Amino acid sequence: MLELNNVKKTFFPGTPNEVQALRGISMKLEDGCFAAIIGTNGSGKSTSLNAVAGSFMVDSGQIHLDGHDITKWPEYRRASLIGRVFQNPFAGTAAEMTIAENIVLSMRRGKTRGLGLALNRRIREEIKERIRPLNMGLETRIDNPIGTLSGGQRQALTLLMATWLRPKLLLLDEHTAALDPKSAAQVAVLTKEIIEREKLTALMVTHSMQQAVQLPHRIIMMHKGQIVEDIYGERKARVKVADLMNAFDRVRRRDLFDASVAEQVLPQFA
Amino acid sequence: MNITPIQKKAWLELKVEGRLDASWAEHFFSTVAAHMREGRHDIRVDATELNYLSSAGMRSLLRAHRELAAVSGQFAIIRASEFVIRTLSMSGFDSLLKLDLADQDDAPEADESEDKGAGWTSKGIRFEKFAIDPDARMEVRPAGRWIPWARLDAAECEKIPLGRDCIAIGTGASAESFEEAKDRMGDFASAAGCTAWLPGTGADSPDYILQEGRFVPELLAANGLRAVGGISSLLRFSPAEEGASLELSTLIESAFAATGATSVAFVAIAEVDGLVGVSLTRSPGLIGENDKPAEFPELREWMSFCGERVHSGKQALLVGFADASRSGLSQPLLPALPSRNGWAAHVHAAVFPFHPLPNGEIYMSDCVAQLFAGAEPSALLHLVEDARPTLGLGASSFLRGACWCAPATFHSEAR
Amino acid sequence: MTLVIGAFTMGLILSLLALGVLISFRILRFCDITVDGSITLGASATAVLLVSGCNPWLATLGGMGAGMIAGFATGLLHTHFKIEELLSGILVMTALYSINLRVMGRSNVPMLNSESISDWAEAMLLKSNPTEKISILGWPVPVRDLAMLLTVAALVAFIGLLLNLFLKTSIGTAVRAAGENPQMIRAQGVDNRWMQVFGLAVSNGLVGLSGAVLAQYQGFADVQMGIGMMVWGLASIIIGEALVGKSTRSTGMMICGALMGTVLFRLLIAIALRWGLDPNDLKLVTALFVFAALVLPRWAGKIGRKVFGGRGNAGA
Ligand SMILES: Nc1ncnc2c1ncn2[C@@H]1O[C@H](COP(=O)(O)OP(=O)(O)OP(=O)(O)O)[C@@H](O)[C@H]1O
Ligand SMILES: [Mg+2]
Repeated sequence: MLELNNVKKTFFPGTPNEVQALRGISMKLEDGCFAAIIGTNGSGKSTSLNAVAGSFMVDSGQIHLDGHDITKWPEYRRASLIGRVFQNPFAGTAAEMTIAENIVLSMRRGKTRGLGLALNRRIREEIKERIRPLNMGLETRIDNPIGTLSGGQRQALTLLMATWLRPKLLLLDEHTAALDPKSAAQVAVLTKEIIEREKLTALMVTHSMQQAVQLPHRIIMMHKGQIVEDIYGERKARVKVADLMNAFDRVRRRDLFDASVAEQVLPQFA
Repeated sequence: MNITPIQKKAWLELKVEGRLDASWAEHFFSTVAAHMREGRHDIRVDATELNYLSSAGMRSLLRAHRELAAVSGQFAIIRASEFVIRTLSMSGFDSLLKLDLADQDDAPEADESEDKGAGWTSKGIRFEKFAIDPDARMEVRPAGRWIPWARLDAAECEKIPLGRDCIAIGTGASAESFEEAKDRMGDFASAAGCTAWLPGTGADSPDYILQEGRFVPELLAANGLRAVGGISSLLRFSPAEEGASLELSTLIESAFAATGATSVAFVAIAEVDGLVGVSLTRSPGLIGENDKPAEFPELREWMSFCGERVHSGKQALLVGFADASRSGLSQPLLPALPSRNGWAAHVHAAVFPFHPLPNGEIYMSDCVAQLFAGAEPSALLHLVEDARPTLGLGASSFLRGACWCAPATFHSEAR
Repeated sequence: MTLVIGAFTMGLILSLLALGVLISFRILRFCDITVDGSITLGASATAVLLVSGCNPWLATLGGMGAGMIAGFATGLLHTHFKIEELLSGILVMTALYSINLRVMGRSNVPMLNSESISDWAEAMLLKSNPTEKISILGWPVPVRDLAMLLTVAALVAFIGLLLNLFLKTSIGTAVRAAGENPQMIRAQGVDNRWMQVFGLAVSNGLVGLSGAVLAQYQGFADVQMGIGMMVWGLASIIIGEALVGKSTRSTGMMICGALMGTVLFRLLIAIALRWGLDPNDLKLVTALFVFAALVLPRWAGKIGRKVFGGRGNAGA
């Protein structure tokens, strides 16, 4: 279970560029729950994921995952519990290393790495076995540098790498956003498959309302560093794209409702 | 395909050339619909140059025919090539063919003469007035005694029937008891037995209740205005020049003029140019001891503001009360209208998808019922004027529609 | 012939340095200037050990270890004290100048009387073939030179293979990934900072080893000997990449390239010297060469585009 308790983060505090990226985020994500985070640009979606992954230390608040207080853990240590796919297909793999080498790196996620040869026949077979179902023909190319693959293929592999060892939490940051529509759809389907098969706990940032409605069990909507909507259970079951658009509209309208508007409308209300 | 509109005195002729098949059918229908929106309810097609007609094309012709029939208009093919005539008659659609109409060739319109309408144009808007019942009046009484933004007490609420004989606006909920209504009180508007209300639960779209048979809907109102009586006159309005629109205050002014009274009750159905308004997003029943809903920023928890001019192109049902005699100002539910000195008004708008109204004299109860029968309301607003300098959104305005109004007498106590 | 063998031997010795630079510059993508200091450190440590009568192989290992410590220090400065990479290299290199003087006690340590790898190699060869000169293709070659060449060749082959194996181990792949994509390797649960420190230690260990062998081959260690070595290594790598193709990223090819590049570069230099190049200009020439290798391809691209611009890049 992932639990965030009043997590705050301010970038460049005390300078003119100060950004309050997270203004007190609290949420509880039960085991096996797949949640999508949606929100306007700059609302703090990526920052929330980065806070959980440990890309930076938060200013205040606690983060618990799988019974550990990971608030102070460095990023690489959290990786033993967390699998991650980034928006940029180049971010999740080392382009000049081969497919097999990249994958084998993820096979030891969170474990010690020694002087044994990373790849052997058995491991190579295992790799081929597990990338065959992608139906991308990659199993015959496992010794090609991963940089020679398309963005969609790289993202599919990154997803596979992130879940090769079952993570306690899977973090996906707009991982289909940089792909062409067809590859994006493919990766989205693969995401759903893997998460359902492995019953993963996952947090996915997406800009696609369609994805948010179809894929996850729960939708968390962020605005200006805060969670403004949390849709799960029955409400999630009947939520439609239009409802999410309305929700966006509501927060936008709320922003436009300032003191001068209040002064205008109050006397006209009654 | 090419569609050329030719304006005749009494109808609009569309010269259609080329192929009317699946890829053009939607375009054809939306062209017809756009002309309907502008009030063209007699549309005749010259199909002599139409050289192909598929089933999809025929369906679009039929659809246009149905839509126009619904507003008592007419859609007909008055000239056609042998091929089109043969295709239509063989498929059993020859009712669309009215080749004899071609011979009338722009005869002076006889239909309109029987209307009792008298017209004038003001500020680019063409008005037409139809006298319905010169003696009709509306008796307006308050319903519920809640004064915003005090805490709401069960005793202040009042259960009101919303049958075909009344019009009403206010804050309330469809519920049996106060306990049940407490957390869902919101804005409502009711006319001719049809009531739309926006539950104050943060809901996006309004709920609605209709009078069916002997079932008369009831609402538990925290406050509101309810009027019974009859309509005295009907105003039809539409833009006479490009870009002209009718502001709410001008509509009210026209209602004053049409009824010859200084206080009016009205119901209007109009195509929206832009609405400006607020709505309750949290039930006043939930106001607690320490809440200060009337103070910013807490106000935002209770009320939402449209933020921009909204629902352009939709059809709005307006229910409102206005007073220029200053007597009504004592009424708590008639707040001052900022743009007009000494005027007070309270108007609610329920928003529907656009659907054209028939031309000429039409009946309020039919039109309202049709509006609710056609589609669900998508929003409900308490209209306000936003007169902030530069940033201000201005007032709600409308393009064309109908406004039924009557002189109103305000009573300070419920009967 | 002696000249050719000398150039070969020198080239092979310096190819160990090139392997070190290959690790820092190409694999870790870290512009590590410690090299100039750590090669001297390797040489001086070995020299002092030898003079005090240590086994030559142990002394060589000692030089390598000293290099590793230097690399470790640079890595630590960069990763844990957040000093820019160039500056951390410069700091350690500067500190090493004094350290080297301290280790040696003076600016130059000759090892005429102590047993070095060369002596060991000569002894080995003489055991199997007790003649003063061996003839190759009709040219008489001093046994000592040949023995040293063979030993160094064997050492380089061994180190090259070992390095290639190392880069394919679990930790080796992690080091490579840390150089290429630190974010990715962190997401795989590896502290990329330690990988960088570790990689720099290995890199400078190789450089130290190169210095150790170089000192024994030359018969002395000198506090100035490291100047410009980093650029030297770079030049070798660049030539190597020209030989095996720049796009290849297989570890084996990269290592082969660096080895061949160094030897070839050394041969070219030997030829140039023979033709009358002033040895004092050597470093200038090397620097100009690296400059040209870095800049020319870009210019060539630009000029190519200008010349063929009108016709687009068809046929490119
Ligand atoms: N590392 C950083 N340093 C400084 N500012 C940052 C950093 N990361 C995020 N921010 C700022 O924090 C705010 C929230 O950014 P974040 O990337 O979380 O938004 P987002 O919701 O992911 O938006 P998008 O949809 O554009 O990805 C932004 O104003 C951004 O500029
Ligand atoms: Mg983001």
